Amino acid sequence: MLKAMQCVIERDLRLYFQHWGECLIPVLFLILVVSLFPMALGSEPKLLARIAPAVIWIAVVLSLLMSLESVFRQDYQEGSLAQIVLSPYPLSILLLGKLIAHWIMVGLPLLVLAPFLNILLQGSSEGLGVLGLTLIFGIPTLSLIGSIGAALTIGLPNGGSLLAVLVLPIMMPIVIFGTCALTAATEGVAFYSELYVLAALFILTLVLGPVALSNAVRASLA
Amino acid sequence: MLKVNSLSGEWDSRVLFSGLTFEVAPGSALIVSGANGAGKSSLLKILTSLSLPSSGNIRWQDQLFKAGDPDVLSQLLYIGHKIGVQPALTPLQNLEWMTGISRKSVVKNCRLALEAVGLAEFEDVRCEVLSKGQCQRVALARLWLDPPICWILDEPFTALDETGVSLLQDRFLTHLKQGGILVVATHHKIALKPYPCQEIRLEPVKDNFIF
Repeated sequence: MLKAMQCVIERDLRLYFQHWGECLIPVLFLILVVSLFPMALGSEPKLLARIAPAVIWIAVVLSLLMSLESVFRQDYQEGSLAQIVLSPYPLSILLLGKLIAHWIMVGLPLLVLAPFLNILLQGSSEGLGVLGLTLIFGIPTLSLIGSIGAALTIGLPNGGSLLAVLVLPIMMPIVIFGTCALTAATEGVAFYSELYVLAALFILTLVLGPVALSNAVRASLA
Repeated sequence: MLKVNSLSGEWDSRVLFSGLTFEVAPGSALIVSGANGAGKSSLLKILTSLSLPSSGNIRWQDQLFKAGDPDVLSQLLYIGHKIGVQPALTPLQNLEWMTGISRKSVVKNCRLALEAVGLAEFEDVRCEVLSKGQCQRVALARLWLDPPICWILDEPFTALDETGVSLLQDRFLTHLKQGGILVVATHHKIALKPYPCQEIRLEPVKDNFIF
């Protein structure tokens, strides 16, 4: 079973490497959205430092949504998704493999980039580590939720905007806890409770998400 | 043994076929024919459990076939209208992936299978530079890889040249000889003698909307 999952991950990584330019888009998008804020709000360090956690989190959510839109698209169009569904291995495991590959090529660069953007926005140095910690749990959770929406909108023309409308409300709690933890850390208050909630949400979506995802994929192929 | 009992299928709330009952025994074939849009592909998708029938049931070795049943899926090979070949990968990578996710396959034989379908020199070229017929051969190469018992193929002759067609026909005959089951939707006349072969002809859909 793990071998089949590994097979899916390897192939997807290979595909991502062949179209490596597409993996750069979410990263560039994140940088651009975040750098829009100092331009629009002016470069007052205190203001920027206060909004930094929220800005970075929202930008991460948006760039993840953008890249998730196409996570199943090509496989759907070429018919590989039907082969994945017809594999005797558990569908949820194979789809989780696809999401792991997506995390390596998209989630991880965003995770690495976010602390630098925090510096760009003059965010506090205490917040730096916490930002990383919240995103470690936050990005996979957001990916899992977003992928369910992506699977449901796969066969629709213009699915991207529908995807955002569909999954953003469900992503809200994660954004709230993520930014709350960061604000708490910047103010020097204990932030562990928010972090624990984020971790719990991650575990919950990791367990239930793939099941929902496989049903969503089945439904859109039928 | 594949048994289908009073199967009905609809698409976009139009009845494509209803009350289909048939049996395909090991070593025999079923040809699904009919005009474009008559519901051939839909019938095959229902047989693979990708789509659900609106009524009726499918039995495989006398057990009810439910979507995602791993025992049945490991005995089933489906090549659809969309063949599942990624243009950015080479034929070998494509084939290795397809076999990697299906249980009954020997990955080391992938090169031999590609050789059998006449793609020996193209193993390491990206599929996007291959012709449509060659891509079809990449997908069909799975049939040469110690494949499962029941083949469900949707228009397998699409874009194949004459040698390709006769190659595939010969492969069908060996499969039937080994006691395999073959379900093909096609417009081609295929000669599968001396093996038993039944034909289902689907009539084109009239405007029989269900309200």
